[in-house]
Amino acid sequence: MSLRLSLGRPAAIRRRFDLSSVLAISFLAVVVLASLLAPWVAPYSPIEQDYTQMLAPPSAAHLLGTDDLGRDVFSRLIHGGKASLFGALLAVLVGTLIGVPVGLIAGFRGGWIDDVIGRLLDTLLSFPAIVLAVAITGALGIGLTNGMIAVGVVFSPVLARLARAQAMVVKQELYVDAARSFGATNTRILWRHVLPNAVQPLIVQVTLMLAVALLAEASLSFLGLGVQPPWPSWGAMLTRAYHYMEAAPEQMFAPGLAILLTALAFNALGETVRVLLDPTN
Amino acid sequence: MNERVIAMPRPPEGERTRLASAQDLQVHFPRRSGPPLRAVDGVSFDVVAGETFGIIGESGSGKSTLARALVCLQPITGGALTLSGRSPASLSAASLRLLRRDFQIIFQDPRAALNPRMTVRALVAEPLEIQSIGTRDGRRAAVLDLLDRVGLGPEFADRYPHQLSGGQRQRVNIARALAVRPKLLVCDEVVAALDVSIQADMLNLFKDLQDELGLTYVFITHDLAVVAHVSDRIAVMYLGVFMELGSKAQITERPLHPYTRALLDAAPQAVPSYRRVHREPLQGEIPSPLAPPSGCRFRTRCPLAVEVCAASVPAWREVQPGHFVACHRAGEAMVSTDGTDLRSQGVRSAAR
Repeated sequence: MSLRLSLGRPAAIRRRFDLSSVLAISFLAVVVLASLLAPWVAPYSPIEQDYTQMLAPPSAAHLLGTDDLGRDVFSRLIHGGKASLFGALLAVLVGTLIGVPVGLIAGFRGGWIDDVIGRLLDTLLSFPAIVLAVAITGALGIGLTNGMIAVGVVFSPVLARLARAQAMVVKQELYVDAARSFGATNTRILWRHVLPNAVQPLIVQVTLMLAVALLAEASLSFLGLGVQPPWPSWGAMLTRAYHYMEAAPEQMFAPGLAILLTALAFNALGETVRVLLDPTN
Repeated sequence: MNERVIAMPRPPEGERTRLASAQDLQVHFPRRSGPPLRAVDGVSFDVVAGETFGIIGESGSGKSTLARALVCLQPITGGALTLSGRSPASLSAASLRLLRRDFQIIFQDPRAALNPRMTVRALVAEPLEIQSIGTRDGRRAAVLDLLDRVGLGPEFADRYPHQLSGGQRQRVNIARALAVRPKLLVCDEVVAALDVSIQADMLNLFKDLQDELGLTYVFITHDLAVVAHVSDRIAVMYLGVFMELGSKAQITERPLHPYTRALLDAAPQAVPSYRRVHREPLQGEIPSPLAPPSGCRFRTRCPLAVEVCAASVPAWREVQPGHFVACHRAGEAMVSTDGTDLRSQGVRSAAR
């Protein structure tokens, strides 16, 4: 009995914060802190060029080597994290703020509202994502912020469809009828009953989108629509490294791994949030 | 919560205060093709303040749809429903919200009726918040008071529904319904999902609450033992219509409709006063409400069915004061061959 008691609570805590979530949160904390404190943490300026040290391999002076213009890759990675994280969060935020309310209302109200919104979503989804993002960026003007808003608009129909499907299921639940029998308004039912019970797959989708947004930032930067030179972002760095793939293939590792690990950490974080929000776990 | 009394004065207490009244009430569900599904197809009854009105019927008889219609969760498609003397369809949203306070429902599935992401405290406080009853502090106290009233201690307040047993969940649902101080409580199969050992506790709780709060119940169930235990009057429902309606004694001791008798035969030990002479268990399933039988809907399973039962719908007639039946052959012996069945003969003479 005492054994079970002593194991009971730590086990419950461990189930919520398992190794992957601890690692993910720690990693993200380091990345975010480093990005915010970049001017003080980075050993070199991210834009200062040194033509005597082009495409240098890692060394004691340059931990991750230098790029094609002799800039310190480690410093650019730290500075670039800010743009990449900001861009990814902005895109997902825009996508969520547009997509989730639209989807919830369409699914909850049904009828002609659902028909109209559904057709609009189908229209948006029928465009290739990157083409739509490029078109919107072109309309808004070139730059990281506009580019990632465009990516957010591209994301929104995906989230809207998911939110719509969830709302259609949850609105059939008996507790929605119970709330209605007390006289609850639609707004209250949406906010207090439908959204909390529809949110789980949305969280998973959002964290997957954070990872996709990191890559979308890379694509936009590749096309010259994202972060403008000489300022770094992970996507821009990856694009640049790609040009020197044969001469210096190790150039791709730093930004590539940064994107990969951050994306994985976002996914693990999403799973942790999902578990924490579910009282039945 | 005294301001409520000022806001909506109760009608004068009296034996014959009609809380709810249905006149030829119908709920039809349209379908994409074919005729509509007639879940409730014309029932008429009054619910009098202070009584327990039992409705018994098989699965698929439309009793849950009727329950939802009574609390304005299901719009009616025909006939008239009058709640506290008013027609809910004619009310503004604000007036309907106020009316909803008086007519509450408790559902069959206590788990599904509770939002899994809310604590018991939030769940019980919700009706008070929606109806803007009391202050924030007043609501906190009221929640604990309500939980106590249904037999749950304050330690339950911070639990989630999944941490409760079925009986405890149903008590939370009752506390929620009581929060708005209803006059009429529609209980839709409230004990069906519970263990038999808990059913009696729950029924006693309903009885105590009725005595304390002067509640009126519409008690809907498929369980004859339950309905006979709690009800003052009983209606027997089959395929969307009432077959028979009367006082508890009339229904359980002097049933006139063959369907009522078959139900009583199916659960004889529940009603010792009904001494069965021979059993006539019901055969087969309830027909589809999409294509109900012509004439009397029960005729396909009725041991007494004759040609007239298929030809014409039996009238809903009052054979004794307060005792209604819809049957061409009401009160006739079920399979009496030699006339020794005194009970049914007595019934027959009483019916005429």
